[in-house]
Amino acid sequence: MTPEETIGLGLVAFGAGAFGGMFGLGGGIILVPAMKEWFHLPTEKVVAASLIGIVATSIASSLVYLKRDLVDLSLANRLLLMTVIGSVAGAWIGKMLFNQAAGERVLAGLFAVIIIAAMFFLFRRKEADDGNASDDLRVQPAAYGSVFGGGVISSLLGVGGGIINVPTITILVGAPVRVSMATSAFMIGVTAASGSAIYLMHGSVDPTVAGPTLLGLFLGAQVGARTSRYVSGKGLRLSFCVVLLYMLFLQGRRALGVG
Amino acid sequence: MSAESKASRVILLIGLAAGLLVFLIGGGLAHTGHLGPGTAVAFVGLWVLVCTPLAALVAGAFKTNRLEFRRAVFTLLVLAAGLFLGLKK
Repeated sequence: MTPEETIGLGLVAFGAGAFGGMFGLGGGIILVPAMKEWFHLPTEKVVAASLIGIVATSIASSLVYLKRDLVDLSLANRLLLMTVIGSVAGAWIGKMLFNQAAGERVLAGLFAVIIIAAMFFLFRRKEADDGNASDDLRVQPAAYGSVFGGGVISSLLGVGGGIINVPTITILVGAPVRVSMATSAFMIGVTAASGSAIYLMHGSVDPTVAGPTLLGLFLGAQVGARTSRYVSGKGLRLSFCVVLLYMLFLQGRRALGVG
Repeated sequence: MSAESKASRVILLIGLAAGLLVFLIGGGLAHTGHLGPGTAVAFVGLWVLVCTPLAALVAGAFKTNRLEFRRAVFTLLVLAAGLFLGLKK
């Protein structure tokens, strides 16, 4: 990569992290399509770099949530086994699908579905309620299947999987939204770490791509999380939706084979 | 803050700082012409970063109770098996 491309990649990652950080979403949902479209990088490298960036942002947000005692570590521990299995499975499936025309189209289609889910999540999300981690939460069997799917999606597409984790913990486990978001943030780190480890061992990580992505996403998420309270909610949400719609267009085009 | 949250937090804090620092040192070395050693150091930084959430999970479980600790170790063993099988393929 040229120095200009490295700087450009870092700036795109920063923007994706900032936008994502304002809404409690990882930046991966913007970053992955942008990296593929604008920098023409192979999917494998993009996914691996995005996952490493997500590990760093998850650690940073978990630090805050753990300090407030909002992460239900016991619940995370129970769910993470299935998530990690899903993450390993996702990385294996990814290795089969990456860099093949049909596989890439399937991935783009799946990504488009996740973007639509993110937009739905953005507008239907309940406000964070009060409540801390508690011991009397019952995990319904469907929750294990759901977080397994979250793990697969995370490693396959290079996103955090919070879109799946948060509703799962809220609806199928019955935890307060605030606890769900905090526990999900912690789980995303472990999930992305599992996927990253596989990509690292397979030599899919290019430090020249992962470096600017990691730093940009990490710094952007910090800025996004801190500035969200100063920016008008409705306008911000709409602008984020416009960005997501553009990403949806890019992925839809790829899925249909016209991009 | 509960003991388990504190344990996880300490590991996350140390891992994040160490991982980023080592990665930046590697990037700096590569930038000054030492491409081979720089890349190797950068990879060490990435591995430190990647292992941090896993270590935090185990640390938190260790402080909770024995059952949680066993569960966390089992999760890590499953991941290790996945890595091993993936490498053999």
